[in-house]
Amino acid sequence: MTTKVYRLPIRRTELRLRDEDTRSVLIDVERGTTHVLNPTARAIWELCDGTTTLDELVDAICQVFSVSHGVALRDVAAVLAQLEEAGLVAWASDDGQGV
Amino acid sequence: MTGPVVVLVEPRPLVREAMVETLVQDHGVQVAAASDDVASTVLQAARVEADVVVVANTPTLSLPALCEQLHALEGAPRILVADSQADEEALLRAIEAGADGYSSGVKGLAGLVEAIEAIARGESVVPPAMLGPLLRRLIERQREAAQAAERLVNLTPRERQVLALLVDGLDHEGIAAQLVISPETARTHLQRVLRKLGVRSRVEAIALVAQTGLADRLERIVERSAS
Repeated sequence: MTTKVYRLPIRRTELRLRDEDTRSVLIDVERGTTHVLNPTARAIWELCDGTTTLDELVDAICQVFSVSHGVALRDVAAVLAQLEEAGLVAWASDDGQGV
Repeated sequence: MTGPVVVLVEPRPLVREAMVETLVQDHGVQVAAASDDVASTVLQAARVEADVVVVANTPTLSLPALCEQLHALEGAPRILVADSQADEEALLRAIEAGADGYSSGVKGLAGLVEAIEAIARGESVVPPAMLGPLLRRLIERQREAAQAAERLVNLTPRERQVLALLVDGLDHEGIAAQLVISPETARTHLQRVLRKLGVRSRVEAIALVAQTGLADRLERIVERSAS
């Protein structure tokens, strides 16, 4: 038996997104909740498309923010953990199956 | 006057003069020098110990060369590219060249001043609405580079030498002379290289190597295979 690796973050698509000047608001109509995202969290959420890997996300963040891989990984993981806890993002394996 | 020491790089004299005057008089920005090319910018940035170099987005100035030389300075200044419109291509070029930020000009000079202050504090400045598309473009570039690297691995050491010489600008006769083989053999190698890389012409092969930043890696591969 092989253990699947869940490394593809995937966002919930049935949310409404409203962009404001320096923040974005995600509205979860089904659960009646709203979530405020800063620009970085919003960009990361947008890239949770089920095809972009965590490594790819971290490498791109490193390039834009001129930070080390370790710092970028810590920051991206923190944002993803918050998004997952809020029920906005889940994880999928390479075969597209979610956790 | 307090705040970060700024060098402004703007090749157009009238725009440069107007920007310096407005930044200094209306916004209290400490513009210590202005310049219009790479060499004078590096010299001025070192002379005034600049905190931030603001570079107008212009095709007449090599941004990668400027960033490389500014990063090599002791106490290297931070680099902000100032544009007059929100241009995703210009933002991508700026970040890939090594700039620390990009101001889109959408908020006018007040927005530029905010960006200068943020970048002097050590922040990376990217307009919020442009961050997502920028990250997506960078990820696409990473994937293209990885795919091209996979194709390069399929080349034989001889074919890599041929490709490296092609990138250096040699035609099949020049490659033949360099490798001490017949022009027909060089032509055959070239055809195999093009087929393995999945490109239709020599120009496309050169572009593939250049766009994916593999030229250095190719040279190292060639050095290793020649030693």
